[in-house]
Amino acid sequence: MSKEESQKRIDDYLLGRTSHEDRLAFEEDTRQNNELGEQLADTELAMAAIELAEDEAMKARLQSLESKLRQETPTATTTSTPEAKVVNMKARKRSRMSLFGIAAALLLLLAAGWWIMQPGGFDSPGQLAMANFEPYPNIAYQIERSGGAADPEKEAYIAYEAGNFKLASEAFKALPATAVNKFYLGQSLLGEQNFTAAATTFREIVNADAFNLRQESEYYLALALAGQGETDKAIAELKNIVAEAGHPSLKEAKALLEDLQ
Amino acid sequence: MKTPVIVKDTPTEDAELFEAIKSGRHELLDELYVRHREAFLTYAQRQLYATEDDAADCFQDAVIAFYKNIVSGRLTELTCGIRTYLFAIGKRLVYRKNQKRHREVTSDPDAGIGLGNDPANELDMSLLNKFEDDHRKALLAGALGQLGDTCQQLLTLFYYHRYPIESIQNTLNLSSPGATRIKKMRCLDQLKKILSPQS
Repeated sequence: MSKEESQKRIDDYLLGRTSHEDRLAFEEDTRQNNELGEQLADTELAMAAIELAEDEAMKARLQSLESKLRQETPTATTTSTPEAKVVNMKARKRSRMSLFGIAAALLLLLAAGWWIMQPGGFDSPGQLAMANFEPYPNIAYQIERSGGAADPEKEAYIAYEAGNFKLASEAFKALPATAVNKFYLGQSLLGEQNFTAAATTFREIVNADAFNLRQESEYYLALALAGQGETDKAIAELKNIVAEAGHPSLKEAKALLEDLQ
Repeated sequence: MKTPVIVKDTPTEDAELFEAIKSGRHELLDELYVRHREAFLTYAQRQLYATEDDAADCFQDAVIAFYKNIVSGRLTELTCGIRTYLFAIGKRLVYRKNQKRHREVTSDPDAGIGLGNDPANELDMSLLNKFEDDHRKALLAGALGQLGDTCQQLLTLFYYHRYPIESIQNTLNLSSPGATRIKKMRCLDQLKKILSPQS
């Protein structure tokens, strides 16, 4: 076998392009053929060097991007108010054409208004809400692999993490009504698209004291309201969030607000 | 006039982005980073007690690890949103960093867990370990840089980004697939000699 052919076998092996049987056969060959074994070891070392160099290059690229983003953020927030400019006013002419123009513009506005009042490209408020819904990660409960007796809390969070929202919501309902459990119950209800129950649940915790997901609950309440079709109430909630600099759900709230408006 | 709301289908967008990255468009990682960075930084600082710098550092590593899982074939299809993947990986990295710094949150709640759809389960944690192996880094650092530009690009496209020979030929404007294979072989030999001068 030529050096090129050996190298191709090594590449296919290291890049995972071989079947299980071929892998086993190749490994056997490397045990019996020292030269092939050395060629494999050298290639592995070369690949490690390439991987390291490119890891560093990608890291440097993302670090540079991060610096750029940090520089842009304060610039965006400290942008000065545009200065007012004095411009010459053109003399207005009233004519039949301008009246036709106004009438045409009004018609266009009416047509556009009707179109905008439609559910905005979404088939339903629920679809709009689900397009904006991302279940909040489980940061509340540490699930241990080994488990003795059945633990309802563990079952609830396992179901939640598995995306089995129906089972999760049933399980969370059976747990003590703490703010955290209610938060994840609300999440599960949203996942089930049971927006009414989700809104009720989040409403119960948006004013909870010393609850570190309280602000996030505000956003999910707005989302549940949007899903119910309570657009005005959802918009009011979202405007409160958007007005609060540094709100943890600011970005999501802005996106949803844009969709609703 | 207000722009009409366009149907926003995040899973489809994620799927498209995922497929594009899988097909070799690794420059889209920047887009991925920008899209999810702010949410992760907020989440990591508020919920995991990370500093902004640590959160950003971990998120960068999460994006790279995510990409490497795609190109290595460990992650062949999306079973949840990209953000969920990135958060799962990034969260583990923050926990590790916190452990090193003995911050308030000391344990990784996901450590050793085999949940059904935990995205990080598909992650080869050795990839993450490599980020921390400074000694090995020091040994290998700079070897690739001693090659010419074309050799560096060719080997990186082949072994890291897993481009097929034909794509490398096109990308580097080489004359034919055969010429590309020969060039790759020579470049690899050069690199091996740098790494093991006695061989």
